[in-house]
Amino acid sequence: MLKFLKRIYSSRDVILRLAFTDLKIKYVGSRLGILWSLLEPLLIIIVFSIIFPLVLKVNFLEWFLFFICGLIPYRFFKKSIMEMTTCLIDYSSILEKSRIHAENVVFAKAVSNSISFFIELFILFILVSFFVPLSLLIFLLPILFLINLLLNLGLGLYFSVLYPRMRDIGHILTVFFEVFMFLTPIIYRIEHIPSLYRGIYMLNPIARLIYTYQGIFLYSSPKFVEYLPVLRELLILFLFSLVIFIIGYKKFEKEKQISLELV
Amino acid sequence: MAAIELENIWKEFMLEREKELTLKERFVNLGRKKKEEKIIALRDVNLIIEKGECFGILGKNGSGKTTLLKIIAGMLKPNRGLVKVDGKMLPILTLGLGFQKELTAKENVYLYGSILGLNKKEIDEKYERIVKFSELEKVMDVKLKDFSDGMIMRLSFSIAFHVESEIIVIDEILAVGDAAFQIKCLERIKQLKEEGKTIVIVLHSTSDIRRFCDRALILESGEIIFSGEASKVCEEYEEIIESERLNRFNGIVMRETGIEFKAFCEKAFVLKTGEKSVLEVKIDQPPKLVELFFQGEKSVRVFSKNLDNDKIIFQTNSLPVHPDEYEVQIKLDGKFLSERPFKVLVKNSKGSQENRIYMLPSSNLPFHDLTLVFGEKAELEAELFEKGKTIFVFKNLGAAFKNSDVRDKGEKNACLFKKNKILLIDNGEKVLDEFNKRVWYDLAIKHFNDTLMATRLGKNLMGIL
Repeated sequence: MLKFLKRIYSSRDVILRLAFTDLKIKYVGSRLGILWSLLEPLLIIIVFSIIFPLVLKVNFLEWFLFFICGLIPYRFFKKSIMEMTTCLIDYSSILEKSRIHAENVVFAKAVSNSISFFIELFILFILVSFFVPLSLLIFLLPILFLINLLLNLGLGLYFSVLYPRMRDIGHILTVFFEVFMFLTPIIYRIEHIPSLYRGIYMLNPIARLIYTYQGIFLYSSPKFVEYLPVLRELLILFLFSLVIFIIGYKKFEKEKQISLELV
Repeated sequence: MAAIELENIWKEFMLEREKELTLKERFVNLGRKKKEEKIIALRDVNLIIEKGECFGILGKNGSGKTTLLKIIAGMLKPNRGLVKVDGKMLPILTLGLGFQKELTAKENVYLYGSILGLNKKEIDEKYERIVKFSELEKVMDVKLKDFSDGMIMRLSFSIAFHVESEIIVIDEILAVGDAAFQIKCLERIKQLKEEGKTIVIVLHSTSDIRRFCDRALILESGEIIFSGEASKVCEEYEEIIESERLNRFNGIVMRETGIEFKAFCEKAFVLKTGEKSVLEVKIDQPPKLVELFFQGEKSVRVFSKNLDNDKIIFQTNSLPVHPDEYEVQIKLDGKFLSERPFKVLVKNSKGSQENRIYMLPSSNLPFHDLTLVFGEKAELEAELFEKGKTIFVFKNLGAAFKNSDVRDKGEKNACLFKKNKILLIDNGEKVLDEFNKRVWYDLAIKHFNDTLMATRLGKNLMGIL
């Protein structure tokens, strides 16, 4: 494990370069550039923000802020994992003919997605700060991000070595993420779940993850006591992500050779 | 310690169609017995490459060259065997790997450099040199999509060869690019070799292997079939290629004419002087007289044989044929078996020297019994000639009669035969003078025309004369 991390660190240059290239390829050549990455969530947000307040008869602004605080982290989670899953195939020409370690391209995808996420977070931050007084909790955001990244990497590593052998994983994941969105508190509040089932509901770590993001942005109370549940959530999420990462890493190390021969 | 050591390397691949790539396929194939079909890409490969050596790899497509390079570079793990590498390794299996057309040339330099294992600082240091070498200073901020293929090659090549490493593994990248580019590549490889780098390179041109490599090997379906000194390996490889070409050609002729023509020697249809190889022709009706016409660039020969068998067998070690490529035609009882000739290549076996023989074409001529042999080993040739019952026809008839060819070349040793008996062994000029006294040029040509113009061979001959 330590060796693995060292190898990642020593090849940071190529990871960053690949991530940079990935971003540039995505947005270069189009006039709006990186704004395109924001356009898609923006459209979803607009559609949902118009329909939902109408149907549910909730306060538009409140709902809108709540919705984007959940949607943006969820999209980061989904896009990272989708891209990491297929990245061994996407980069097969490079992996086949150079000595780049396979994990580098997975990490490069993580980095490029993180950068897109930063931009989205920044906009989110500005938007939220207009309407809601931000608490000190916002300083926990980097930690939450790192935990989220760890979770993404764990799942990404796991699926990336599986994908060359089972190509339909891509389709399965797409459907899964669409369905899973409704199992996380993005379009409804966690309070909407009957308290009887809330315990079961909160077993879903992604729900916890999204919930924590929302908490960090929207907990307007400055009282110290309020920090505690967030810290607890962070700890739970961290432990969970760590386990996932280790499982993903083990799987990756075990199968990367076989998978690479298949790409 | 050697730079690269490979011990008993085996590498297997699963066949593409046997792979189950989706869950659906797995589900459908559930319960079905799995067919295990494998391709053995490398079969028990042993190889030691010393430091500072330039080692060439030859082989057809699919013979396992790239797999071997990947194993050396550590990109593939062998199923069995040991790989030991001493020193930093740079594999260049394709040029311009990972190049992105949407990025500028400069960004691509950084991208490709980092893929090859350089960090940012190292690329910063080398950047100037790379740009200068590629001669693309003015366009480094232009997007790669506006580059011509040649410029992209130049750029990628100059990046690849500025990565410092002790061992460089190069796949057949020289197959692309124009002639000037190839020369530049090869020059740089030569320079790297002079710097004491170990180079493993796949090349398709044997002349390049001869020029740059110390040693080489030939791979065929995953096995090293020949390895050693570069020049010897190249010779062997050329013979393999020639043999395949002739095999193809003769295969077509065989299909079209329905005649079976086989050559039993190490490499089919590549005969060697002095070495035993057998030409066999299958026929339905055993004829009385068989003649075998060898028509080549330098000489033309006819061998005749009496036999009563449905196979015609010529043992070529008893046939004094010269190194050349020949069209072979078979004449049974004075009739050609087919209009289309077969082809064989005759090569010098090692150490033997080429003699030149001038002889008169047909037994119908009054002086058919005269034969001239030139060359250092004329006496040896004479001995061979005395043994065989052969009739010879030669292409350089006119030239021989004009004498100039022989005189200009200052042939030192020569023989003159009459009825398989040596008349004279002396220096070329004297023998030639003696020969001239006995031959009337005009008569010879006339007879030659009359007798041979009737045949295809004769027409060909006259065309050249």
